[in-house]
Amino acid sequence: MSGRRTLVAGDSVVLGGIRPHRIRDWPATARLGAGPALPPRSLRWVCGLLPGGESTAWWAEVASCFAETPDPDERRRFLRSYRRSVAQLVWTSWTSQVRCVRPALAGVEYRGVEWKGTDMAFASPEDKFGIKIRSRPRTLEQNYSMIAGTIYIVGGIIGFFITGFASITEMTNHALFGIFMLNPFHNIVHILFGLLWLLGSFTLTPAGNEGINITLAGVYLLAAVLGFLGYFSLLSIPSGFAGDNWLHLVTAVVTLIFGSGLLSAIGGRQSATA
Amino acid sequence: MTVGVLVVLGALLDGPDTELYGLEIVRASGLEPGTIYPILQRLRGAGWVSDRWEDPEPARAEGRPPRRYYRLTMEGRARAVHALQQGRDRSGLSRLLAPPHFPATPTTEAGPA
Repeated sequence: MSGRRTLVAGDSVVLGGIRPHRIRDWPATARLGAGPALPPRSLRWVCGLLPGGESTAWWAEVASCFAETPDPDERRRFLRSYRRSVAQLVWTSWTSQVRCVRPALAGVEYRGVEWKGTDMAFASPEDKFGIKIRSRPRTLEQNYSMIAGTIYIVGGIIGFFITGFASITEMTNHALFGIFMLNPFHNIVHILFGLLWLLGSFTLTPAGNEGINITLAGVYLLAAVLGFLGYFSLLSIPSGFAGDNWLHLVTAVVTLIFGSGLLSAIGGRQSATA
Repeated sequence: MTVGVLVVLGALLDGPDTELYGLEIVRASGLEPGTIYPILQRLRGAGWVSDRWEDPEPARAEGRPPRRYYRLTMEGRARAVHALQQGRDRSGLSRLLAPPHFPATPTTEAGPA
């Protein structure tokens, strides 16, 4: 018989054309000696938990193991052991997958490889994650972040005095300084962005802070465009040439100029690497 | 290094050129296949053991799926000998790992191969 499982008498579940979720057909096959039995399909789900190549290899080996084990008792014992070891199997498969990646990376000779002026063999957490560890003077970009963040946080807090806490995400007629339309949600967003700026200023490295600034500039640019087109009633922003949209556009441009490291680059100074 | 790993290494160290497939290792070591597989996976990842799939043609002629054969690499052999020695020195394992290592049980020879 070839590898295909044959239907045998007494196999009524499968003969009836129903796919049962608890398949115990393999002992029947083995008992009746209907050729090399396929591995129990009740193990098939395990393949879905394994990384790609590994699942194929594992299933092939399980198939080989069961095909050469005619004794039903032994098969049952094997099945139980496979079931018991699923957690271990999944863990080992994925961790060895990761270990396979690591030597591949280690094969790249890091020693002497410079990335933005830093020898990566000795890369510090600052180089890797952009989180400031040793203290250093604030750069121009970080000073800009500090000012912008402070302004936006103060604006957000003042905004709450104007809007109160009602109708959080609706169009309102509350206006800060008479021109900037607000609702409470808009204030929350202002405070969050201000916090991001302050984090960039005080807790990130110069390079990390520039990343925050570029991102926020992009977000503000997007907000200006969407607000102009009238898609931001969620933030109580009117469409067209409203104060909010101008403010967002100006914020984006100023952030790109002062916060992205552009001025440093023009001034000929080395750009921030960490 | 757990006892299971040592037992598997012992089975593979049986001869100078031993090449076993999963079920043979199960028979030789007395462990269950579900336990063996992750062990072999880890040994393979560490480079102690190399694997090879059997040629599918003769296997198909015998009406069974191809087997996956495992053997110790040069490095693995040296390390396995050392590890087994260390394992044997630990009192509780001396009985389990006493030389000669696991002589293949009759089922291996008379198996449905």
